[in-house]
Amino acid sequence: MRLENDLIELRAVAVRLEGDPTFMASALADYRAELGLNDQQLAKALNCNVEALVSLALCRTPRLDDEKLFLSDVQAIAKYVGCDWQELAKVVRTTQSLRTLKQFIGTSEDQLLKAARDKHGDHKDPDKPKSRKR
Amino acid sequence: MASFPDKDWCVEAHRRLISGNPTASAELYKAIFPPLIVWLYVKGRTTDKELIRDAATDALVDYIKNPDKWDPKRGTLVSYICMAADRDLLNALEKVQRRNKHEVRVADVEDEEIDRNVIAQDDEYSDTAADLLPVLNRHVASETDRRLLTLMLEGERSTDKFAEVLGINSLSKLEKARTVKQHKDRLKKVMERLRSRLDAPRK
Repeated sequence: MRLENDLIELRAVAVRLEGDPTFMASALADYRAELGLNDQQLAKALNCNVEALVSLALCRTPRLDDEKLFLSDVQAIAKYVGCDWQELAKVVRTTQSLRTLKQFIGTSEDQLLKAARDKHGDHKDPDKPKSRKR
Repeated sequence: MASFPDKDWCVEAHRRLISGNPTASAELYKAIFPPLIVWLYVKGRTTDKELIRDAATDALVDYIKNPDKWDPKRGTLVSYICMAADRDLLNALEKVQRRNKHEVRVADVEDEEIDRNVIAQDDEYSDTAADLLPVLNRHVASETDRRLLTLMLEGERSTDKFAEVLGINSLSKLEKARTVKQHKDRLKKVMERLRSRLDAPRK
């Protein structure tokens, strides 16, 4: 009974951590949303049971800047929760790529606007009113 | 009842967390979160499940992201996290109280006539009338202000009485209420300043 209650509480924590990229909860939520999966389908894809998803969500996201550390992190997590490490690596890499892509799209728009302003030389005199002359 | 992990376990988990072990956060959550929830309930600050859960989560997230903040020489990890969670819960409760007060005020403005709302805020001032009135009379130069202050301290609720002192009874109801409110807000500040100078106790 206590274990069941603990699992309910921890599941609520996992949901709350979905917005925090420090934790795997965030990657799992993004992956689920992008592929339109439910918990059962996600657990099946990772070759683990649904309860293991809670433990997985509470783990720290693997370090992405170093391939060796990434692999050792993914393998440590997979061993801890009892899932397929290769599938887990795929989930993390996919969500990371999607995030980068979204970031890139957002940044390019800003940079484009900045470049357009720079071309007209508006930045040279900040006190000068912005001209709309063509 | 769930119990906290022992000191040695915590030190070892802390070491793993510092070294970058990706599963240390989950281990800490599983071991500390359930008893932390129980501890916060027993402490009795609130019975609000969501607030308790949020405070416990925030305390653990903060520690997991900044493990260096915990100084093992100053106490156990469990006591550090408990204190942080309790502090977060107190802050959350204060926020809820502030929001509730604000909601009541907004509801007053929406539901009642504006003049009734303006007067209702001044109830607190009538309590200290006996203490403050003689002092205010000595420190306030304007006769109109003195009369307005007297009305406020006596707990007067009618906008018309204040409008009469201000000589604005010919204005529309809304304008009258607004002007009265402006004067009363100004005089409240005068009273607050005097209160802090005199260190007069508030009821």
